[in-house]
Amino acid sequence: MRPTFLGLEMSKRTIQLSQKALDITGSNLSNAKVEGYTRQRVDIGASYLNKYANWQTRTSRMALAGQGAIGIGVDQVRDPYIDKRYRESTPLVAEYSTKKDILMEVETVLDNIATDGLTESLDTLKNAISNYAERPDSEELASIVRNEAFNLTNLLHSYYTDLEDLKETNLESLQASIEDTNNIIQRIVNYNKSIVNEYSAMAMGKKSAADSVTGSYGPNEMLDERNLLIDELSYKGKITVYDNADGSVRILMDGVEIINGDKYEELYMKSSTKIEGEFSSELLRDYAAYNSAVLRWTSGDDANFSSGELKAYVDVLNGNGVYAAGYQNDSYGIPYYESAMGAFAQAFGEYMNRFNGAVNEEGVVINKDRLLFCTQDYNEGTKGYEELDMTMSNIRIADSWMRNATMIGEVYNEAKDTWTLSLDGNHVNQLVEGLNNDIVDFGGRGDYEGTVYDYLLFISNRISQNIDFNQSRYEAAYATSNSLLDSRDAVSGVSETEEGINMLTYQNWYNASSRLMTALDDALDRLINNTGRVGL
Amino acid sequence: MRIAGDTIRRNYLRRYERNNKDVFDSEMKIDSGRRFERASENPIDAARALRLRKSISEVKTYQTNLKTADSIYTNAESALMSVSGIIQTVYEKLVEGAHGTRNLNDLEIIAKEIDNHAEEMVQSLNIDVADRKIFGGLNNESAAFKIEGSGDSKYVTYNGVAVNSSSDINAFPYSGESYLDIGIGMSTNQKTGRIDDQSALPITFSGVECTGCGMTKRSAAIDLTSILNGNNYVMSISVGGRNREVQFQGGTTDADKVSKINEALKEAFQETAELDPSGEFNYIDYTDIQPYRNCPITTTSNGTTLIDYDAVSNSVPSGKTGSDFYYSLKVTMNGMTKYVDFRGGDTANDSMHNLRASLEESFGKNTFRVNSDGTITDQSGSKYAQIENASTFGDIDIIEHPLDTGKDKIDTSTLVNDGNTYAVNINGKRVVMSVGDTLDETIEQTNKAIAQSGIFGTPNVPYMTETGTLVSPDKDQMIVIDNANPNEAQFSYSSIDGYANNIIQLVLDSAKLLREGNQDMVARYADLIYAAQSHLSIAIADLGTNSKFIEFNEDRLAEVEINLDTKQNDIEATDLPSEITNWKVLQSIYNASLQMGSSFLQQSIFNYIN
Repeated sequence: MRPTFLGLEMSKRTIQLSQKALDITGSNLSNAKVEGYTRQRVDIGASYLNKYANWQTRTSRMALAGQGAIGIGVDQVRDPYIDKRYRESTPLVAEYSTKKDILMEVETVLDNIATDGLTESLDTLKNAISNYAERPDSEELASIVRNEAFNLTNLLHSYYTDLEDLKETNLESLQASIEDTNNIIQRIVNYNKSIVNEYSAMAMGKKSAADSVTGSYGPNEMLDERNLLIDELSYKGKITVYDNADGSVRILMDGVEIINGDKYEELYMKSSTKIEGEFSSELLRDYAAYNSAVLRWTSGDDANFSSGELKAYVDVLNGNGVYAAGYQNDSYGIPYYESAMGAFAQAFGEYMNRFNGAVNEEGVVINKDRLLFCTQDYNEGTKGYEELDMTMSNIRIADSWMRNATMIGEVYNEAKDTWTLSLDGNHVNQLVEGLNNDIVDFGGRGDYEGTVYDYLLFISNRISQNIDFNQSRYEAAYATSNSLLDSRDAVSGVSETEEGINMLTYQNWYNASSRLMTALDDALDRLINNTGRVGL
Repeated sequence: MRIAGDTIRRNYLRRYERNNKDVFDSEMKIDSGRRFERASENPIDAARALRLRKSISEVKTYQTNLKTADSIYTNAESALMSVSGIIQTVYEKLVEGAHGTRNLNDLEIIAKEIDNHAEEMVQSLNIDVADRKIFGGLNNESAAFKIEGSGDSKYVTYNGVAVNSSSDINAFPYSGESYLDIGIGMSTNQKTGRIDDQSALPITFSGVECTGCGMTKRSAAIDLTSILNGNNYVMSISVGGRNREVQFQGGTTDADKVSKINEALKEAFQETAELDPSGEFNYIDYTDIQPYRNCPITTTSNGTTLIDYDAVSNSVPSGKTGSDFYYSLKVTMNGMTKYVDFRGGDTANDSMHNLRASLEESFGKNTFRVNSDGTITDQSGSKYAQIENASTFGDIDIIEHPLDTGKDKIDTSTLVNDGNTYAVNINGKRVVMSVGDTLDETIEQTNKAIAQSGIFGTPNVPYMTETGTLVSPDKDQMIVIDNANPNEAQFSYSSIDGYANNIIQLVLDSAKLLREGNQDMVARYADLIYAAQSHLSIAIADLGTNSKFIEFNEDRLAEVEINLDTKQNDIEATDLPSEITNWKVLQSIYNASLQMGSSFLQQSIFNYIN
């Protein structure tokens, strides 16, 4: 027999369900602008009889049919595959974007296009030498040559200062990024703990503790927060995310397990107190100790990154191209451009010294009084000429040239073993020709052999092409990332219109359920109050 | 595809930002007038732009150089034209003076005028342009031409040497060429190590090339009776472009006087080395002497010869180092024999390096390979050279830096007949000493060998004959003498004359003839001066040709500059008409995107339901 109030009971549940659906719609609309929010929906199913349930009998099936709908749970609409693809693309966006931005700052320092850079300085020096060839006995013209050479060395000094500042800035940015990474890791771990607790309380359908809760109705908002943090973590480096059975996640960053449930690793920059010298910060001291930023996980594993923001910082701070040694790598970072400019200082200075009869082919001093360029330490008498290469920071006009500007116009008189001014300018003209045509090995690592001027073009081209490469890779990765974000939004994002339609639907549903309640009430009223009173 | 609200907003913002950036970039291009501000914006064009800038900078240098050259050539031409005009006047005066009706007073007046004209010619040729004495060769310090002497003994000097002393223009001081790079491919002649004279523009002129030098024949003789015993004399003597002040003392007899003068001449002019009995080499500047030794060479069982570099560097007498010795080798390979000297090194590597450098210097790079195992092979390493000592030298002791002179000396006690041949190295040159029966004989033979070999140049010392005539070993060289200092004792001398080739000297000589009233010779000199103008005419023609060349290059470089500027503009400068059009389009897109945003961002179903 049908229970008298079955309809009312069903109608009550339906009204409650429609109210819950309206709640979730409202929640979706409310969270439409919340970053990382995944739209939710109420899973509704038809209530049906289960013949094996002990509270039912075979004879009661007909009577108990028409139970209406029941709410199964509130689910979030998310596609794990799109999440995975999106997190594969974000480290590339981060890496190329960061690298591009930093290299553009390097380009600004070494700029030859918008400002008068080293190419202009070299041109001016060559012009001064060419003018001097006209009157090798002119102290004035010789002084102009020396002054232009002085300006060129000063330009190299300013390059060094700017590049060092840039290095320090990026070292600080790397440190901030490390701290941010650790912070994200800790927050994910905290969410792991909370989510596990929530699942313990909510996933009642689990048959045993070992069963996975994946797919169960869980703490949607916490999952959103954790997913958002995982997205942020993917910006730092290439990660792989695995779901644990208890609802927590296990994350590998470039093969190193950094999170597993409530266990985690933290990233840090390897420090050293062994290096001598004064440093304005511990960061700079640690960097100077290894000529690199050396990153480690607390487990002791090397932190090597194949992509992501951390890789970008490591590459620009440790990338030394063909000059890489120790912990450095062979990408073209700030150290490479410092080395390349250092190679210019050394090769150019030594070329000039060799031309002037100060050093032999092996770079060994044969006449110290003929030196045109040297290191600051040599001028100060603390180091021999061969002990230290000339670099951007330490290249100086040699004291011998400061004392005698016209030295560059002198030629060797073998019989008298003396150097005398060559009045015909032949010697000086040969220097101009040599600077234009002589092939010089820069850096001795096979990086470049060519003329002095062509080397500067080579460096300029290299940096502009590096930026161009990173820019184009960034644009490609960004487009992919955006496309994946669109796809994710297509699944998980809140559409106001859709929610509006849902709202109308649920409102109508609510109205209809309420109307049903009225109809049932009327029916009961008829039955209870008006039945059996015929003729009254 | 389901479109979420965030997808619309995010994509709209991204596109809006891109549109905004496009407008900003376009505005930047219009504002700055540049197509790109950074090389990374357009790496290929940036590389081309930097190369163009280099070319433009070079063109500007060439143009500056051409302006300097133009000024020098214009002034040089005008100076020579002025001299040419003066010569015409002098010629007319001489023709007037040669006229038989002129008395001595008239001739004196003309002579004075001609003297003045000679001074004018000197002044014109000593013109100074941009701190350059343009007819002084490489001399920028002082006036190149001077008239020395007085009265009838006036003579013209060029850079301190009498113009009559040599007919070789290169024999005068400061006679080199100086060049300016004007963008015609300046290069170095690999043989001479100097700038190829056809790859740059000369900017120095030899004054004696323009005006002539030397004489048809000229020498001088000193009156030995005018030289008194005990007096000190200073003679100025120009021989073949060299001028020296020679100090000598008077002697008791003519032979004594001639001997003392010859000693003084040798002291002044000798430039080649001569060994003296003390073991020192005179007349050259040096400090160190390194003896030659026999190189330690061994032969392996298969006949390969090896140099023991360790022995070269280390098996040396006590107190010496490997670099104190030289070696002379005979190297044979592929039927070809080469001789080479090399200096030992203080380490085996240094010795090997020195030998390699010597081989390369003598025979060019990539001919031989000097290996650390002591062998010398061809470049492939497959063929071994036969190495042996070129000569067998005895060991000779060197007295290093004696306190008296600081110059190394040879221990001459070993230079007496002992059957050995010795060799030493001075200033990179090998001196072989053949030992005679006595030390004097050894010294004589050695000095003769040095002179004949010419390793220190050719001895060219003028000498005086027993009659007082001064003679140069080079028959083409003229000798001009004078008392150098009026405050010292004076001697009498006479010139054994010919005709001067220098036009200013001819003018001065013609004035002297006018004073002497020698009108026949005046007429002859008028003809000589007329003929000597040919030097000037050639010089003027050369200057004219080069001036045209300068003009041509100025025009050429102006065109090159325009072309380069055009190319630079094409690459670097903003094409304003097209960029402004582009900016307008971008701005329209930007405005449209704003308008779109305002219309769709707020729209949803909530705008339509109650």
